[in-house]
Amino acid sequence: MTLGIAGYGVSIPMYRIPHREIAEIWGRGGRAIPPNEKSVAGPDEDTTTLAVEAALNALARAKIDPSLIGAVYVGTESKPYAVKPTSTIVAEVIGATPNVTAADFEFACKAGTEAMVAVIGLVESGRIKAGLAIGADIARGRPSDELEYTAGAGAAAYIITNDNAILATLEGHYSYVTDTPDFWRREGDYFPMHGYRFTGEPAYFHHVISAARGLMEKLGLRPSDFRYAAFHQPNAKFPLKAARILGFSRAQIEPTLLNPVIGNAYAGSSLIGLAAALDAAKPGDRILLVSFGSGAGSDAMSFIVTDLIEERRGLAPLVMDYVNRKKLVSYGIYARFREKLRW
Amino acid sequence: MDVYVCGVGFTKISEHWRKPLRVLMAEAGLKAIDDSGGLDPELVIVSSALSPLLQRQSHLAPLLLEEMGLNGKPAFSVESGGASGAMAFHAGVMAVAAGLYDPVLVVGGEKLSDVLPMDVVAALQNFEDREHVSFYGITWVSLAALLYKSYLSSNGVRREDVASLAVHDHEMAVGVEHAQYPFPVKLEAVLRSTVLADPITLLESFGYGDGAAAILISRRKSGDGCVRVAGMGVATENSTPASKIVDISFKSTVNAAEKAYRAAKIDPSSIDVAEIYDPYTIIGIVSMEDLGFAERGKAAKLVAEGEVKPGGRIPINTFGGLKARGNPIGATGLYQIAEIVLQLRGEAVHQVPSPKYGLAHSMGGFGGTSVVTILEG
Repeated sequence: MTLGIAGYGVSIPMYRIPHREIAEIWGRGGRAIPPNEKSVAGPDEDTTTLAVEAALNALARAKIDPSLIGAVYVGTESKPYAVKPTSTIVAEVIGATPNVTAADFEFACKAGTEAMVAVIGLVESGRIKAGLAIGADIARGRPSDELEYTAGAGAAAYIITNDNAILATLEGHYSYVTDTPDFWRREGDYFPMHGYRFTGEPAYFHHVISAARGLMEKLGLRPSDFRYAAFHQPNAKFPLKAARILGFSRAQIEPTLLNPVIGNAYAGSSLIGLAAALDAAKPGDRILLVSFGSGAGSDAMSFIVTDLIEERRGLAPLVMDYVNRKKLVSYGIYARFREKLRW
Repeated sequence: MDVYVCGVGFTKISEHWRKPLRVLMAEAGLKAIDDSGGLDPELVIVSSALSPLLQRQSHLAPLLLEEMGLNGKPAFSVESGGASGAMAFHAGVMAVAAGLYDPVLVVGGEKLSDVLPMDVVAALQNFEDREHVSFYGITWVSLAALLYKSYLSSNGVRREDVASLAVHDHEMAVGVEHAQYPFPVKLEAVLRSTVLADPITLLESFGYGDGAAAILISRRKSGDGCVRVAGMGVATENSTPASKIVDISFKSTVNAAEKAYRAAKIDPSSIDVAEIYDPYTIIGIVSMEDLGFAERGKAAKLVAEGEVKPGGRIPINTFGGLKARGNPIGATGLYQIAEIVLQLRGEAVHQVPSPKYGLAHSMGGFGGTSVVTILEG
């Protein structure tokens, strides 16, 4: 029985703030600033609205009876409620309630793929026919911190099944987790802390590369076997460097590289990258997904795109539709939207 | 009574995420023992200036000795801020010269990359007077920036000439395996990099890294690799930073150098190669003048004209200096001495032609302590 993605969808807020605007506010305007932007959630958006929109897009592509969805898992580190699931709201909106298991997952930026691994397990074991996994975040970065340049917003939803038409078959999965405290947010803190350069080699690169190599070894694959690869994108440089170390070309990651235009959507980041690869892929293409969550770990997955992709792709907006629908905002507007002003 | 350096050992200066401080230090210590042909130390002197603050670990000596397989031997720590490594070496030479212990192993190490950068800045501030200087939030780099401005305005020196010390350091680090930044940088890049404290830029400043260095000292001249300790000078000066900025001089360096030259019975013109303490370009430039290598206000020009390269008038920092070799605080003085030993042995990457005398200069804080060591090959 083939298991894979029946439907996928994303949601990215329309507002953008350029790095240049942030740099000028913090007295760093004199330097050469890359022309990057990050997505900014509007005043009426939160992680739940982004998750719902992505889920509805996934549902449109999957053309599945929502009552067949037996699990709704949302991976996020920016739940609107500290206690009360986001997943129940999503399940209710899409019509999956009440015979459904629902929970929110937390594993920093890889909570979304962690939700996906859980759904895969339930589907594969036959407990449920289909499940919905979502990575969604309105990322928080402390004003003036390096994180503020990239902390963006977005969500990606995936319906996994073995009982429906499949757009991309799951070929295999490999997880790599250690206790590495490179980035964290303690109870009661609003903004996360990070270990500066410690977030690089011992955290992001070690886990991403170990997971990617582990999966390729398990499946007997090489980088050249993949048409596209989507890595977690904390900034514009890290995924490029990881790709280079692993032996992937720029062309293989180009369509998935969205950090320069939308920033880092934390739990949504690598999953939006995967959606962009599915948007670009042709039947038969193989796609690598490698997430990274601080704390730390990576999930690597390999998918093979089926013929059905051509028919279903147009049933919901593409990643680039969301990327191109944009409105620039000033730091002042951004500060109001993101509640940076507190009194 | 003559005392010799009979072995040196060090690690690459880098971000050693997977090695605890004691492991890094043990690596350097065991290398120094190997380099000496396997001399068994009777005493170990340990130097780490920041481990009590950054690793929350004081009393490192027994931990290090156990790691090295030397459990039970006598050992203690020496701390003099950024001059800790050189001061530990000084203590080792004293112990050997006194006839109390022979041989003595000196091991210095520091880890700056396991902690948040602001914690390193705060820890380095502790090298200054807490009540009268660091309490007011003055950082090391801001003191150096004031000295820089004072130097430029009173000497009519070109800022580019001061900054060229960073270019020199990087040029010298190319090909040096243990250097943190073994690549060249252009003067324009140095001048255009981020300003840390006007006029000091990022590329005029040392970077944070981890490293350990060790030296084995003995009266017995075992093997060909031994280098004689020709003279040492140590001086302190607890004056306000303002006096150093106004005088454009570190009195402790002037006094330590005078003692070292007198002990070695030479003058600055006899020095063939030197390691200068330059966490920021300006401190290196002023120190060159304090050491007698250039007239007041002339050191920067000497650097810009290339007279500090091997073959030049006074070759300095031939392994990259604090800027490009790196500056793991409590280990830095031992790296400097080890590098002078390599030059005198003729084993340097950028070798000075047959040097006889080499000098290493270390400083604790903003001139609170200076240690000058002269070695003879």
